Amino acid sequence: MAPGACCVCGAGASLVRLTVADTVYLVCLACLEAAEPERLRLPVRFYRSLAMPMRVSPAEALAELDPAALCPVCGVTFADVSRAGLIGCPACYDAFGAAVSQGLQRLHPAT
Amino acid sequence: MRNASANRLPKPAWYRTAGADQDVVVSTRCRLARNLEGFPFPWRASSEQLGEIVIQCARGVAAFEPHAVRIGRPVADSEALHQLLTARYVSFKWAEMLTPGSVHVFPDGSGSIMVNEEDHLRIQTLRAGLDVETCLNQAQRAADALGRQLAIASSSTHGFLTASLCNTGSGLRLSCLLHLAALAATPAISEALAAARRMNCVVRGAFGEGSSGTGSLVQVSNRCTWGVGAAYAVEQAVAAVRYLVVREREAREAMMRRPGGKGDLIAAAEGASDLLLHEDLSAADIVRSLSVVRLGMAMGATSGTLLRTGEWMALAGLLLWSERRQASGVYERVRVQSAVRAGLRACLAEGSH
Repeated sequence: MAPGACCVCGAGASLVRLTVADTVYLVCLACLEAAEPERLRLPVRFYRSLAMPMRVSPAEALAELDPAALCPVCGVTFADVSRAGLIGCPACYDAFGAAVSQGLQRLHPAT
Repeated sequence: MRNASANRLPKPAWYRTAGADQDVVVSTRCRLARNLEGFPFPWRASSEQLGEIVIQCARGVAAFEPHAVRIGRPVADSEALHQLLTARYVSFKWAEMLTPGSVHVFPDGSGSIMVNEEDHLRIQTLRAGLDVETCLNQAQRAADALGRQLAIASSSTHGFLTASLCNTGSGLRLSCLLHLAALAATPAISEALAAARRMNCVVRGAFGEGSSGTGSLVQVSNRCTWGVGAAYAVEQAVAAVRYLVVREREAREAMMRRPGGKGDLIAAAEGASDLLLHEDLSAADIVRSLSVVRLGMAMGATSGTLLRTGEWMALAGLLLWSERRQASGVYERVRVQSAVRAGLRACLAEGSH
């Protein structure tokens, strides 16, 4: 099996390092979940919860833009929008276009 | 005697009509967010602008729902505010705001339109049990009718424009309130909720707390409103709800199959009823006790109609919310306890006949 890969299925993501006696194994969460011996039940749950994608807040989702950038219609600055996690008015969607697009893609991951 | 505005409010439809899967699904809510063109969103609007939005929305609503009951904000009548909150005609957020706003309650009690919450318009419909189609159709009809009267902010690239990017696009949030009492007592709950999240749903406590939810009440709603069709988002949410309903029923069956399982549930439900009838409980304990009573009713271990429990849980949820904001006095707790006790006594009396 390639180094840095799951020793069961060869996957390269969500790996957990297990030490049994003197041997170190890399196992992916999916294989660990499939096997899930009783004594590993709790650590598996813990790691699985870490691997779950966290919900992104609207404020975090907005990409970096000049904080002083201004909406010409309502006068809100990008710094205000970032702080509140809320858009100022319908025209802000164009005024902060790039940040809005990136924010939408991050907040709606199914797209 | 209740004053005029409280008396004018119709009884919520979700108090009266039982829906599908109500052993697990307490209620279904559909909400559509919309905003008017030419105005800043409420958090950026001046008092004058908010007042103008209230007037325009009142005209728009009157054109298609002339018999809607309108109540302005701030709500001067505390009894009316209490009823608006327990009926879930308004959100806690709307109730906390002191800026100009209003709510229009549909005359059949099927829902309401909040004006100047996070968005200018929040159209919401509620039903007992799992009734997605009715909720969606009613909310969509109201949104379409408003769209014919008012200039609604939208764009070809983004769909409906909302104050939060979380709602941009369809503005649709479909939420189901689930009672996962048996599943929550097993370690399988975290795995089941994680599976619902993987189906692009948001899972959280019914009263805004962590996903475990006081009294095992969990709210499941669609996450995506933008980029995917509204129908697909709804399908995902419904699939997650149906999955959790199945898992909860499996957990209930396993609980009843255990030696002494039914006897334990009868004893627990009787104990919880006793606590509700005779003890001075905190809001969280009222919700927890109601959860056990509701489970007992759903499994036939105790008498009573499930439909009533939704109303009691809404009352207790209101108390829980006010306690967290340290806004609740002894009066409010006694009032909620009295309402729950009266309902519970009626249920027990029905069962003994």
